[in-house]
Amino acid sequence: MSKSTPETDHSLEAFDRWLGQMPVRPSSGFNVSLRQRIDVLQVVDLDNLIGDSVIMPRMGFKQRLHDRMAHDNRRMVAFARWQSWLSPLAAAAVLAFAFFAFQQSAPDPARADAAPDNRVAVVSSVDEELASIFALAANLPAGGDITKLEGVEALAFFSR
Amino acid sequence: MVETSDAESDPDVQLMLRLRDGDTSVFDALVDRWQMPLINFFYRSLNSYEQSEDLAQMVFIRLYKSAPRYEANAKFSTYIFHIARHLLINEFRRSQRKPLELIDPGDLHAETSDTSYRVTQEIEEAFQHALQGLPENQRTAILLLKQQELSYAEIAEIMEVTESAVKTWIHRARQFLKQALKESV
Repeated sequence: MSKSTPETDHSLEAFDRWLGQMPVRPSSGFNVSLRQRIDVLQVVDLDNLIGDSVIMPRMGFKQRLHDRMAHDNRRMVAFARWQSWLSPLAAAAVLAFAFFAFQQSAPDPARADAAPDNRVAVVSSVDEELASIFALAANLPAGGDITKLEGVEALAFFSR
Repeated sequence: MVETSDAESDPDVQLMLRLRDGDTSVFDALVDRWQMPLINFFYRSLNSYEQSEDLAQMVFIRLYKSAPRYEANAKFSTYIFHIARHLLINEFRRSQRKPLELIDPGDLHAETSDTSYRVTQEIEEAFQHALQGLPENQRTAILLLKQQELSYAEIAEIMEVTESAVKTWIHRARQFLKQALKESV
């Protein structure tokens, strides 16, 4: 063994003293936490089912966190890959749907042409009675006292 | 079952034998007796308080689980540090790194502007850095020798090597530390 200088020996002695110290103490909940772990292990066969994740929850948590982040990253990459070609496809589908929906809601030219006749037919059927009233009223002899009419039905008699 | 007279005279071995026979009330006594040495052993190796507590609890859990199969073949310190070293190596493998982080002074002390305190702190950091510069086997050997005050024979048994191998590791560790401390202190 080589002989060392007194300074170095002094440092090494100080180091040995430092090494002999016990700088940290267990936390106040050490025994309680240990007891809880043992209670859990008495219920579960840790070696076969759970392993170190129960024995060392903090490390187990770190491992699970790491796994979850890796899983999320894989999902994000897969999503981005799909998104790159799925987005234009989805946009095209939406535009096509909007176009067909617009086409469906536009008025039918054939129906639009037929509409005036229908309206005339409806009006004529509804106001047939009214038209006959006006026709009768037009033939009224001058000097007739309309105020004496008791109703529309009396117009025919009134003209006579 | 082989139970050496050395082991039988160890009071902690007696507690462990009672635990093996179903007297779980002695477990707390073993925990109280060994939690400080274990946490500090792990702390000097890993430089992390949380991991040190986790691993110390893990040692006690292993101890509790293996109690029915316990055989008093060695001193209790040998038995418990054998478990501790296996867990430590597993932890190194798990984290895939050599523990070279510098000590976090906040872990140990409140901040202060006192000059002498800062000097002490710097020395402590230098010691921690030097210790963590050692390979795992040399660091564990010197921790068991100086911190836990175990004999070469006990360390050899814990580390499953010969006594001469332990002496070689200690010698190399001290040579390295001398050089490292000379450069830093």
